[in-house]
Amino acid sequence: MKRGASAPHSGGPTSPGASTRWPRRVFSQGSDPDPRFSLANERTFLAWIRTSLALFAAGVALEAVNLPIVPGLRRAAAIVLILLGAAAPAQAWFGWVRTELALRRGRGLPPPMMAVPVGAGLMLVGVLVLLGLVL
Amino acid sequence: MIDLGSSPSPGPSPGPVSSGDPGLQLERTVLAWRRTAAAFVVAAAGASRFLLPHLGGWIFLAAVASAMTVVIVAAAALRRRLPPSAAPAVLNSARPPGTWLAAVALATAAGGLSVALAALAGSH
Repeated sequence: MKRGASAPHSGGPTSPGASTRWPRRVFSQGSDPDPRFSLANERTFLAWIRTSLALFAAGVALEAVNLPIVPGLRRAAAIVLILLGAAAPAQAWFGWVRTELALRRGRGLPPPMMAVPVGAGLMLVGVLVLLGLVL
Repeated sequence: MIDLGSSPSPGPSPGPVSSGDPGLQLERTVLAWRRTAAAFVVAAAGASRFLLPHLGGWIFLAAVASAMTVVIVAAAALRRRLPPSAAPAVLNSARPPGTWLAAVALATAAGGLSVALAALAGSH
């Protein structure tokens, strides 16, 4: 996306009341970006929140629904899912902070730290459930 | 929810569009909040459907925590709304609700963990 190319910075470089917005360590830096980028950042936050909800739901469902899976493997898969579900809100918040900071400073955007762990964890869950079904 | 589609006028006419933004960023963000809140309501309903029959100390705590999570997420979702269509372009209202985002992230972790721990403790 062409950041800061066309859209004017609304409210000037430092909008009034910028210092009262929380977290201050984000909003004291740089200048207000194009609001569309902040909105996109907020949607990314929400996508991670929904990811967390789905991971928690999968972990709870694995334990709450009676499935013909070896109990030890089932529990291990549920615990992996729950740990991933607990990590996703952290990614949501810190990713939002880091991205907002990068936008305000006009730097490159940070990568999603939790993308690889979540992918690897889901693969592990798949292997555990498969083993639990076969064994 | 259907009336959302009518607020941005189609075509190039710069009328009283909600934002004048052809990408409909504000509309998409409002809808993202709504589907997030709806997902939490559904998840809480499902959790209570499965867990409440085993009503015990842990389950009660989990029910309270998840209900609070739903309330927090719904309150945060209600904060992001479309400007009245008569208002001029105010994409400026993209003021990031930092405190609300932190509250939603914390509530998700707390509610999810409490329900998950209750489920783990309940099924041996």
